[in-house]
Amino acid sequence: MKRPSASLPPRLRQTRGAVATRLERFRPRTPRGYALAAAGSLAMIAVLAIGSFAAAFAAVTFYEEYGFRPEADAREWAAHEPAYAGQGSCRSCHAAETGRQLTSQHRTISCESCHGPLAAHASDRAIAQLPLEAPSAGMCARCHAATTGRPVGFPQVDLSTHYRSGECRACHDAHSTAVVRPPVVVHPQVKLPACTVCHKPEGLKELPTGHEEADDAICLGCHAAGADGLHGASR
Amino acid sequence: MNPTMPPCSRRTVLKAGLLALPALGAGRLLSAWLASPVDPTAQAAEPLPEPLAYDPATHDWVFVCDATRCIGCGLCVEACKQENDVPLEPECNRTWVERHTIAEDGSVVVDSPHGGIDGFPPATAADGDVGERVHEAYFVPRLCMQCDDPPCVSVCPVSATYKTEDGVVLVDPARCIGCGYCVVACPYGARYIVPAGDELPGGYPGVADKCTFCYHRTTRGLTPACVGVCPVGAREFGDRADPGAAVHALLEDPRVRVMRPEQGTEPRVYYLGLEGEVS
Amino acid sequence: MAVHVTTRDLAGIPHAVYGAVRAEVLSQPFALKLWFAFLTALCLLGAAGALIALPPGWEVFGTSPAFEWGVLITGYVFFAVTTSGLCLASSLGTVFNIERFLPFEKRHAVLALLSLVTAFGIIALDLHFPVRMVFGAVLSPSPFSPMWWMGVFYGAYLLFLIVEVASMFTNHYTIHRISCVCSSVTAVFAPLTLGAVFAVLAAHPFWHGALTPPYMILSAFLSGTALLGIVFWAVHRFRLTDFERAATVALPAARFLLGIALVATIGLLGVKLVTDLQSTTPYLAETTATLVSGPLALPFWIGRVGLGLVIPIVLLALPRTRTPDGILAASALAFVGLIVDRALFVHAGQMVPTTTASGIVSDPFAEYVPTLVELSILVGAGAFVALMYTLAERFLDMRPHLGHQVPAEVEVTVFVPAATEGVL
Repeated sequence: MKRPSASLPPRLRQTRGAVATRLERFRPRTPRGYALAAAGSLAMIAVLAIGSFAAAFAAVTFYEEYGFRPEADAREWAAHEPAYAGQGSCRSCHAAETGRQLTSQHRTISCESCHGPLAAHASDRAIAQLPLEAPSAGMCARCHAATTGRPVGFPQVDLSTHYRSGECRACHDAHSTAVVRPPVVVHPQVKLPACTVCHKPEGLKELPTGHEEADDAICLGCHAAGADGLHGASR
Repeated sequence: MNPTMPPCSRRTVLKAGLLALPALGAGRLLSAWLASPVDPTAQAAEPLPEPLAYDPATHDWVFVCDATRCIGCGLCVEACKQENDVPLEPECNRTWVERHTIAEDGSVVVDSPHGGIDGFPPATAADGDVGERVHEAYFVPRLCMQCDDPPCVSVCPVSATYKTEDGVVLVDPARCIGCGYCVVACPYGARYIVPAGDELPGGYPGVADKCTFCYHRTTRGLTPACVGVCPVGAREFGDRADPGAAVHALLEDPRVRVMRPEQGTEPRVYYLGLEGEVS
Repeated sequence: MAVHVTTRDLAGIPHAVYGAVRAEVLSQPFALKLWFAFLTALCLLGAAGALIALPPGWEVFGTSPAFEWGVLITGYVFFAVTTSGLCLASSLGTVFNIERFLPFEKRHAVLALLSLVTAFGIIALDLHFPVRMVFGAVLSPSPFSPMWWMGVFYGAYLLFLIVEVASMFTNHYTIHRISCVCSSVTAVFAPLTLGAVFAVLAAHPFWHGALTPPYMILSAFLSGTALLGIVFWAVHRFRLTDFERAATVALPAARFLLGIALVATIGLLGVKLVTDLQSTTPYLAETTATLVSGPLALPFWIGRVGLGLVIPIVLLALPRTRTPDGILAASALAFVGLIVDRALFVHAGQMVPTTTASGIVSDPFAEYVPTLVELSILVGAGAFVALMYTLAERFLDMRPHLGHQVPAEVEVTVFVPAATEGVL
């Protein structure tokens, strides 16, 4: 059987010999030399291992950076903080308002529908101390202004004829939806006939939405009940 | 890997890793391989549940929009922008509401001022355009259909948008190249490119963005923000995998249909009370 | 052998370069100086637009969710399709070694490389994260996306073209021959996938369908041939390298191919128009009607059909205009018609709204007006191709490639297996 090296071209065999000769010079000859060689080899292996580990880590990180990673990205989407706390967080502090709201027509509406996102308010004591700003009248109009496209039967008011349509909460409690303070009218005319002469759909001024046509006694039952009773006095 | 880690930290770690800090690398790799995503000590004082115990394989989210209930108040559009830091530009909407006004002669006018974020003008802008008596009008809430066969996912050249196991289509903002192919491919116009100059927490300008079914809320057991603020229950959200979910009753309604079924996209958003060809 | 470089030597380099450039400029005829100055100015305009458009500057584009692909996509499609067409038009000479198409070699390859680089440059400016695209396409491939395949084929095409051009000017015949075959094959697949990018979009019925990819290949062939017709007229007119063959062989060959491409394009366009106008697919007939009788009718009938197809065919057919100048006119008109066609293709596909896009109601048509930045980039891109090609004509050796002139029997030994050699 031929030795493998015999088949190599002479130039290569020569090279191999030269390498062996060169390596011979580095062979340790004392115990201290062996220890140093061992330490050196270990250090080299350690460097190689750490280096390849760092390279593998860089490659993995690189793949994570640019490769396909739907699970990790879905977790990142899931990790965003909610801005809206959702139902149930408000009642512990705002029992009066939620109590009125939960028995009203507005009971299906979330507090945050009108008051805006309040997750930070619900979780942070400092923010919770701030008084809640009352929603503007525009918030009522968003839902209750008569608008083409709204379902028939949904309570809507024509803002152009509704009494004091810019100040809804002067009369309506948004939580209970009840009319708590009927408008007290300072009527410009004295010595008038019955209210319904003028306040009819076909009359001078339309009846406010939601009012049945009725006689004076019923009108004045609400509209004369103000503190100064001006409307009643004008007659 | 800790799911509460802010997205940008990955880049920081990459830089550190390239500086060959093998100990850090080992720790991170080990934690990536070994750690379960559950960290029971994290944020125990938070009143909101954390998304940690969430298993997407056990959920099957569906959404039902009721056009017969929607009043076009636009609270959902506003809530979506607030909840998801959607850019305030009127042409950037993850969800919007549009009004379909059908005249006596059958012509249809659609309007959606700024996506309906401030509600709708009482006297419809469509009235003048139609020039006819309004025969019928209704509002249609719009959002990503989270299709089961999504064209946007198949066309993305770098797989940056994908379908989760629970049925949601998400966009990886760190992969998206902003080519706009998905925006063009969506038959529902559900996507937009985040404009430059919009600084989004965890997001990037220039990438495609869309409705996520409020993934950070659903994974915590909350409903999407638009569902929560809807005053009339025109938006319902539920888990089809949960036998007790209220959406089952809605889905059995014979009036239920999906938008543009001819596209073959198999939407997860169902509609009640859609008339004619709404798209 | 050591080279000692001193600061004095380095300081001399700018002077030497300046001197060489000055001598070159002074030696040019006035018309050429004017031509270079004109193109350089347009290139600078384009460069300014490109700088503005670099991220995060993409708000300078006029696109919106309702009209997401603007005029830059038009430009990309135009140059990407032209580059494949150049290879297709010349493959008869380079691949099949047909004598009368041989003069296309070298010039087509240089032009193809320039158009392709320009197409890539335009798409890089249109993309918001081009670097991510390179890594993403490799690390998270998406084999269901035609755009991914388009990247694969155009990437391969770029490689083959570089090898083809390099081997052509360094006289590596075998490498050149192989790379010619490879680039011609990818030149078929690349516009096919580009067509598929649009053809898979069911959301846009005008683009959707099996006819879009073949139409893309056909118009690629047309635009490549038209550009070669323009170039060889210039070779003939300005007595550039190998101008003798330009008039006797190359221009007639271009005329022949241009005629075939024009007739085939008219046929396919007619079939598409008729079927689309009668289609019951939602929005398809409406979209086609915008071209035929709607707001796009003027550019369509005058630019696309009249100037781009009918007049060139007439010019090619009439005996009086079968001159080099007639071929130039036909090629240039066909080329302009293709630019119009690209713009119409991208525009019409998005114009008829099929949905409310991200809250934008488009009524009756989706609106898009290209911004000055977008237009300047396109103008600069065209000027870049022209400028680089003029420089190539001036400084590269455009003499015929010897590899294509080897005798026929040597060809047989290269391509036919040994077993059949005796039979032949």
